[in-house]
Amino acid sequence: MIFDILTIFLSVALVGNYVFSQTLGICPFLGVSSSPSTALGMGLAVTFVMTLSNAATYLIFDLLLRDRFEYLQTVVFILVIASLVQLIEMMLKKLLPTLYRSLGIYLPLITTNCAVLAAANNAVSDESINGSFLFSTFYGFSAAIGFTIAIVIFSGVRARIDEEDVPKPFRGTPITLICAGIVAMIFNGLLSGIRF
Amino acid sequence: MNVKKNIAETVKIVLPLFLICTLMVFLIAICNAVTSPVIERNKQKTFDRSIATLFSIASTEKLKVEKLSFPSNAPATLISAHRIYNEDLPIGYLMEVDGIGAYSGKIRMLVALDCSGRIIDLLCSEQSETPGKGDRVLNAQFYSEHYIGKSSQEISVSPYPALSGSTKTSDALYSAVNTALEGYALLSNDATGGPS
Amino acid sequence: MNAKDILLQFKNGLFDRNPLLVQVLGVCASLAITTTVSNSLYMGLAVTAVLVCSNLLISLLRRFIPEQVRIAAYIVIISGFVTIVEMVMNAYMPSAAAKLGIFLPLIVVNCIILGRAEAFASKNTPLPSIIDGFAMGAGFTIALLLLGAIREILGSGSFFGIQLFGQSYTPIGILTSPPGAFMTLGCLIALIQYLKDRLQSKTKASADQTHKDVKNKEVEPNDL
Repeated sequence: MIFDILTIFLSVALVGNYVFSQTLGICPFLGVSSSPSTALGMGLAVTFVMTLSNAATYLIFDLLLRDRFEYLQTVVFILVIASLVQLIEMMLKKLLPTLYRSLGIYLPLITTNCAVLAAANNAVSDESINGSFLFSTFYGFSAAIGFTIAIVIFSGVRARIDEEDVPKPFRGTPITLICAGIVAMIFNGLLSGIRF
Repeated sequence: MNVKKNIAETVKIVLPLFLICTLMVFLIAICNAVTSPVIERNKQKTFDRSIATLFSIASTEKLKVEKLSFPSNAPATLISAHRIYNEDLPIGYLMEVDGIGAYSGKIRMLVALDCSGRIIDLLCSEQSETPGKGDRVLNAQFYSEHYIGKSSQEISVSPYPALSGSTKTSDALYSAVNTALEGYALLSNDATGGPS
Repeated sequence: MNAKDILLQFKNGLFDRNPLLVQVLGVCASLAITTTVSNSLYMGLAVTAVLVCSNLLISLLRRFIPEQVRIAAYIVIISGFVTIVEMVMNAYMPSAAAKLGIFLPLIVVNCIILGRAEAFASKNTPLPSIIDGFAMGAGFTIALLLLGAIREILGSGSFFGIQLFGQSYTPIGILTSPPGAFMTLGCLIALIQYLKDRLQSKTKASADQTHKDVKNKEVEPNDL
């Protein structure tokens, strides 16, 4: 059990990091990584939504769709994620206004974050998760932690890029992408020694 | 009065959304009815063809495939096991297994074993390894150098079959083959008449 | 609707407002599947098909969809068409569908499609919307093909799976991995920006004119 949990965590948060080795969730990774504090905010918001959405989509898939309406998976999952984001936004606004003020602006962006849908899809199709609700939820959590690690590391790098004098054609997106490539190379290189 | 107005407003918003959902589900259901038999047939055809290649049989007409059930303590990466008959004579076993730890998560392998548990041939049925990297391991030459003709014991004593530069794919292949052999061992211990 | 308008729409989709190379939308899938040219082609075609269908339906229903729930309605329509495209590909092009893997259902969250629905299809009649779908889809496909060609030729020494060089050629392996994908796209966008700068400084006046035309035609999509 402990070993399984560790395997899931290592394989989706570090070795198979969603951003650096599966290139998922790149839009917010590039868009909201300009400073470490916004990056952390986005990371936390994604962690919150992804954990809950994996729990919800797994339950719905298991109870309603499995073996009968599997072809509706994409439609149902994206609707669940969109309504979950909306719901979380409304609840946070009412119950925890301080948290809402710090996470609120990131929440609507999460619906179109492909990492969330990918985590939900992977969790129901991956045999190593063993068809367990707990593992599926943990899978979402781990993937989101991996995303947070990636976006926070990268925001530090971005803060430095902005101070540098970059050749004109490379200003903006290109230099950001190239630096993301270098960070990804370092991240994957450091972790490639891990075997399990 | 006000309540009535509110309800009318809500209906005005929700009804179109509901109708759109119904329309899309209807379209998907029609499409599913048309495509699912084709998809099933494709799968069956690929499966038959891979059996024919793996066991080097010219025609699939006299082929009989019996699906075996395995005990609950079998590894989760063992997807299915079949006993294969040609002209009513048992010619071996086909194990469908996942190899974990590959670069992109997992690879799915078909492993053909003869009646005494030696590997006849291997075939990769699903992979998304980096082109030019995974292919260096997942090919006939690598299989015949390290796996084909060997039994579980021989593999456990021979040097670890890995190719530098494609270690993750090598690892995944190794774990897949071992799962298949483990599955064979489980089936042969499985009481009455098992493989002999 | 005349030939000039259509041409302008295609010019927008392919060059001025290319979804991937200028607007930098739909990056996730682009980075993940452009390891080979054939994968790029399949992905481009799948996205174009979804884009054309969803643009058409959204444009037809644009008066019927209530303002408050429009995003939800668009998502339902888009995910429906993605599922249909996925099924058709699974049935008639199983090897292509297997290669695209999880990135096929992920077309749903491709910002290009939602962006075009919001910025164009919800404000225009069906015919221009279809043309817009084709134009933007073609722009995306060509960008993917460029990226795929660079990565496949340099990264694995082949083109459409055919080996181009002899045994002595050592491919630049990093280009086929995710870090290489980031860097290739970065360099490609830099090249486009460089060419654009050159073109603009040469023909400043006429460039300004086209820019104005573009501005009149559409509303900027929100940063999705």
